[in-house]
Amino acid sequence: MPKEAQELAAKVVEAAYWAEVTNWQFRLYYIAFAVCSGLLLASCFLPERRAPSGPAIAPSREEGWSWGAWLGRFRRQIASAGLIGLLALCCVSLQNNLDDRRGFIADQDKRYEEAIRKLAAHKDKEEVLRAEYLYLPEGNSLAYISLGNTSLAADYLWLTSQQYVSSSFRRGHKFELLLRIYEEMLEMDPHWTEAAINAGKVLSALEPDRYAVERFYIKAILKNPDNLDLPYEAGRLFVVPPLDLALRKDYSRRAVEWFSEVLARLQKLQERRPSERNSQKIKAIQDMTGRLALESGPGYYEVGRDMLWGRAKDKQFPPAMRSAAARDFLCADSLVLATRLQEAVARHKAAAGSFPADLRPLVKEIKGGQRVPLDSNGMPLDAYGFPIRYDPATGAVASMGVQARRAIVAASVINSLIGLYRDAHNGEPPKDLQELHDFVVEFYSSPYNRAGPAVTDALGMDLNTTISPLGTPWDYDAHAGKVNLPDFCDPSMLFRNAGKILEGD
Amino acid sequence: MIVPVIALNTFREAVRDRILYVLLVFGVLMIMVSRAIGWVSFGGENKIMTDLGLSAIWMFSGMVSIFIGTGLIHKEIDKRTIYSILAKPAERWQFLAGKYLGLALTLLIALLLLAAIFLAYLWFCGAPVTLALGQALLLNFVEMLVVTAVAILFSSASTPIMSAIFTTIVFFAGQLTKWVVDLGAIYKQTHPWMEKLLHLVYLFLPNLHNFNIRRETVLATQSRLHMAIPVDELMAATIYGLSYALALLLVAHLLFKRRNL
Repeated sequence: MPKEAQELAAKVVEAAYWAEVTNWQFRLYYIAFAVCSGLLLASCFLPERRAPSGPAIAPSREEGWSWGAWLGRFRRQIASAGLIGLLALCCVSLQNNLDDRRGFIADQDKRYEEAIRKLAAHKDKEEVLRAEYLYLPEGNSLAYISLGNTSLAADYLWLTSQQYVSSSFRRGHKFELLLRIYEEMLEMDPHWTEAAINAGKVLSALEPDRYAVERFYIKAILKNPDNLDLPYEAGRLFVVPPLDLALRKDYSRRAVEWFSEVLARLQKLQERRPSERNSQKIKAIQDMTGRLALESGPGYYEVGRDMLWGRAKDKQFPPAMRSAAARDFLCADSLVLATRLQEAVARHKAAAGSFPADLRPLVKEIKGGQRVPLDSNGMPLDAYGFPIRYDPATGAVASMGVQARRAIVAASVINSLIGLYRDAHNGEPPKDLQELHDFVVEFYSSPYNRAGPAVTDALGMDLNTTISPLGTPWDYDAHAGKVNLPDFCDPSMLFRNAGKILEGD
Repeated sequence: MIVPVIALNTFREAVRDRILYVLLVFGVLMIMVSRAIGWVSFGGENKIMTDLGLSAIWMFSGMVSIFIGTGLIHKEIDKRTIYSILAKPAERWQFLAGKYLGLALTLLIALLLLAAIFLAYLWFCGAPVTLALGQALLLNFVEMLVVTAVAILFSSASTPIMSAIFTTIVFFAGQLTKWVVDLGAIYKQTHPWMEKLLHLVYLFLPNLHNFNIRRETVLATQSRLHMAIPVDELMAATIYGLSYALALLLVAHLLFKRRNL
């Protein structure tokens, strides 16, 4: 910096200093300082009027009255007042100094957040989190601080967490810090399950990784093994399907496993102490678990089938829900059969070295205790009444009814997407389904407009609009702008066996 | 018959003390405020209300024990009224016992008053009220009997200010005696004898945490259960408290007996 600039900067600093010094607050401060110093100084020069062993005495007229002599009576008081005043001013000065360095107490939160932001700029996440954690006492020390009133400490943590949540919902590493607060709350009052459940809900709203929230629930469950609400809530974490299709099966499995545990315990409880509330809860959970089991993969189809059967046959269950359960039962039963046949095909391949020519020889093998309906040619039928599809070249087994059901859903989704296409193209439908596919891929390319679970479930993650779940290209009517389904995909025909279940056949 | 007379007089003297009313008013205020804190919370309103209420009763009954208990004997000495009592056919132990029982009666009345207000308030606010709360309040009273005995012990040998300081320390430290064991665990490897010594110290210190069943009580109340802890546990804690209080009173008697009045 040039010398002139340095001089100018020094002058500016000096001017700022004097501007501050001449501020009225400073003037008052200096006046008070002068008065107090004056009092202290004056007390040093005042003559002390005190009897040899007694209180201060007033000078008599004969001795010659003077201000100094009169004030001498109050010498000690004057000295004390001066000293107290100086000490008070000293405190004021020090307080200002501290405030300048640290800021006011009320601003501590803001400063803390600013410091954390600064730290986050050049340190890794772990270090920032550690700094944040320093703000919260450890569980053990909280127990001591609260003099053993740990329940009260848990209340404090719960209220603190609410304050923190409400200040700005998704800011910073809120999940990590909240998780820590909730875990300490759990440490302080392990049996406050209501708060633990609410805490889990807050955490699940903050964090897309539901396994992390599940771990919190597991901690709470370990402390409250008899509680049924906690595993139920842990299961509910996984009911809403994730955007990532790869995770969907695992989410459904987790939900089924949690709900199955709750169901087993609820049923035992119901045997011991029957109650209408528990009975209703069991039915609702069975219904939900049955449906989720259909999404969970081969190991879970039988669980789903049994639960859905129970719901479909329950005359006290609401009719609409019974009907839905019966339809889902057809799907579950068909999936069970297809899975067993697939396993039999694999066993045959392992034994004979090739896939069987058809499924007829395998039917006896899988029969076991299960009745497998056969058509006039001896081919197995799925619960919908369609022959099981089999490809001898690849050994793939599939239920036609299940595929038809998926095709109905997928056709509905594609027709909705054609509607979207029309809206974007002055009412014109796409020329072919490839054009629709290009449009759909572009439409859902924005990170703010990802395809939802309903769309990806029907079309797959690649948003395939050209091949139907039946394995054939869609029958697309370009003139009408819609896809048509084969006759056997007509819902009234497809679900005709559901009616028989409801009627009791 | 001298003990009940002294006890009754001590009770009369204590209820005339303004500090008792100040503490009671603060206790009641704290109980009332608990509802407002519960409102702030999302969920668990009744739990927070019960927690705060029980803790307020505990804290304020503790303060009554300390502030009134520590001044009782000194006041008699200071006003020289003790001479007129001891001049009559009254032993020093009778004087101490009377003082202690009088203060215990005062505490009981104060506690019953606070408990009645607390329970009525809970009921009025629709929070669950069960017998488990009675268990917590009973143990609270037993804890205060121990604290009062500590106050009488210090008061029989020291000035009111020093007694209040020492009793407050015992009151707080008594909640955290487990700390001593934790401290001992640090020395487990280097100085095993230290660990044993600290464990011995822990056993002799008044463990006031034995009387803290507030967490269990709140849990039981929220689950609408009538027992926070089993009866045998309750009895064990009560007998422990009464035995400890009696032992402290005996030590206080020894000190008071030697005191030159």
